[in-house]
Amino acid sequence: MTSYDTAATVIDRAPPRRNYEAADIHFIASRAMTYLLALTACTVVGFPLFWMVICSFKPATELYMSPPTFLPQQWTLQNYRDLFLQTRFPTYFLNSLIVAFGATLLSLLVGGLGAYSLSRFRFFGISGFSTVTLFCYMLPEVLIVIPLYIYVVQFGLADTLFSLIVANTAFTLPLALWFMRSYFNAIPVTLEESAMIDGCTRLQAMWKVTVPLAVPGLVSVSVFSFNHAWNEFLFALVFTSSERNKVLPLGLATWIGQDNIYSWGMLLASAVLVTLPVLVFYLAVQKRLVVGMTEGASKGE
Amino acid sequence: MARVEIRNVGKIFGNYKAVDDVSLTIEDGEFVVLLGPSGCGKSTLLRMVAGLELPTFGDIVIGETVATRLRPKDRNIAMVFQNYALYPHLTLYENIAFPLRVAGRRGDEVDKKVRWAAGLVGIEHLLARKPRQTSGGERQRTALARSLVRDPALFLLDEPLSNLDAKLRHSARDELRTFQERVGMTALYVTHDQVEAMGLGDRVVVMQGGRVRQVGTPEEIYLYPADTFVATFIGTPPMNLIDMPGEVLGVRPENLMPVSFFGQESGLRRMTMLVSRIEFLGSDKLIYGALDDPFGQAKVIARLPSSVPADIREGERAHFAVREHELRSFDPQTGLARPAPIPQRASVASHG
Repeated sequence: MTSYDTAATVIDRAPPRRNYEAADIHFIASRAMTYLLALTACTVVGFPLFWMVICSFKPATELYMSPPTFLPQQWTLQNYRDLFLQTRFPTYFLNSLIVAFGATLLSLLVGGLGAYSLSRFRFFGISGFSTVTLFCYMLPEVLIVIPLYIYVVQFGLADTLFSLIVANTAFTLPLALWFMRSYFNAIPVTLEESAMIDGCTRLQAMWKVTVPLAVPGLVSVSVFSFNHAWNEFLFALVFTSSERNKVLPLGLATWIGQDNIYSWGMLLASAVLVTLPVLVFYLAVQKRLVVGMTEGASKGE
Repeated sequence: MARVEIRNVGKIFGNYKAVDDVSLTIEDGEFVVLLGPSGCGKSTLLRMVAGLELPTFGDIVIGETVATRLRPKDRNIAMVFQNYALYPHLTLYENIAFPLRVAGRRGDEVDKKVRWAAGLVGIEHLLARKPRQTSGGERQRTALARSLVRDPALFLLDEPLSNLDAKLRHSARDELRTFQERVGMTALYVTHDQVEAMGLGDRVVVMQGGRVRQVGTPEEIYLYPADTFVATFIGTPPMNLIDMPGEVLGVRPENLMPVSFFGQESGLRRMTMLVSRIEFLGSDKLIYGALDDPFGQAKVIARLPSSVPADIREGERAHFAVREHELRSFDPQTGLARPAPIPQRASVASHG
């Protein structure tokens, strides 16, 4: 029998059996793991969040009921009303917004320009400098808070929001520098050179070409520094003292400790309001953030 | 368009001399190609003309202006980069409009210019796309269109065809040349591809080790190489170099033909070759072998058109000949060419 005969018989055969991916144990296992992970994330992260929101709408009596009710029997905004009328929550909230946005803008400005220099220019000491900044980031907050406090007092910045903006920026800056530097490194220099030949100054080339391409990176940095400044407690505790200059984490903490009587309803309402801006911020930049995390290296083609 | 003068330009990076005392004049409307192997300094020279690097020595004059210290934006030049450097966040339209917008032009004028430039390179239908949605050839044309809109005095092209596949490169080269003739642009073009250089350049500047080895028309460079480097760098396969007492003989593979080819012709240098291998390449045959004395067993390659009848077999001796006037002679010490047997027409760089 020749090989031609074999080839002919193949034509008569039934259609080949299809290899289904789903029949593979690894495929099923990895799918199962994905769903399990998603379920865990939903319950561990999602449920407390859900519980917090639901409970903030319950009247005080219902909060202490045993067994607890799942959905509020009586929906109320009393907790929110109390929060705004009885406490200085609006002041704290505004202060937190000022500090968080201030620190974010400053991180973007200083970090962005610094990272651009680290990425594009070569001069004496520049690589040493970038290594030192990374070491700075490794220092825990507790370690730098006292030296920073001394600076703050000596510059006459004690009990000001500006001191918090500067301190938070100082803390997030190293990461901003390193993150943005690698981001700028991934954007080809030829794009700027081309822009400069097309009539731009270096600053114009950076603004018109490099920055638009680095937006995902800038967004990642801004999310990080906003989140950090919004949640930051230690600097706020040490640097600020007056009610006028308290930020949310500090304000909330002081209520809890005040008289050992927790107004759970108000705390939950404030927790919801504290979470809201971060959530909104995340949702607003989410799409660009994901791009920033994953696509950094392939930019600029 | 403008005349460009490169005066004794040198560039040193740390301890490394990338460009060493180069002088060159590009006439108005001339297409000059810088050709050389990787690391010969050709791209550095181009970047210095563009203003992206400051020459360590010497001056660059564009038109009537000494441009050595001018910023790139003030030189009125256009450059096409190897990777095209199209702005990924802008559409092709905005890419082409970029130089105009930077110059502060607005409205109809921009639109008219962009469409004119896009029309010249045939990409009008793609203007709404982003660069990543286009092919390599289309990107290359977009880069060309962008370089055109500003009516620059000088075009700089840094290996603009090297990212295209072989077929596209061929047509792009043809387009580029047609285009250059139509626009009449003064252009400085960098490549390591000799076919590109020979095909495109009015004049070719062969560089090696940061120095200019020869400047001349493609014909001059090929027929009268200034030294052994140019002789072996240009031509595939390269010129055969045969070490003889007191000289190095250069023979182009296509000039080394079977004796029978020449008939009764006189003025021939005869050579006997022990053939080691024959390659059939379609239109040509390459014959590899070693020459008998008095040519000192020199390894040579002969290129025969397939249409030339020749009874040559591997492992046997065959009789070849070269016309005396097609032989080139080089100094064995310096490698520099000695005057060719017919009137010397090559313009040889003074500092070769």
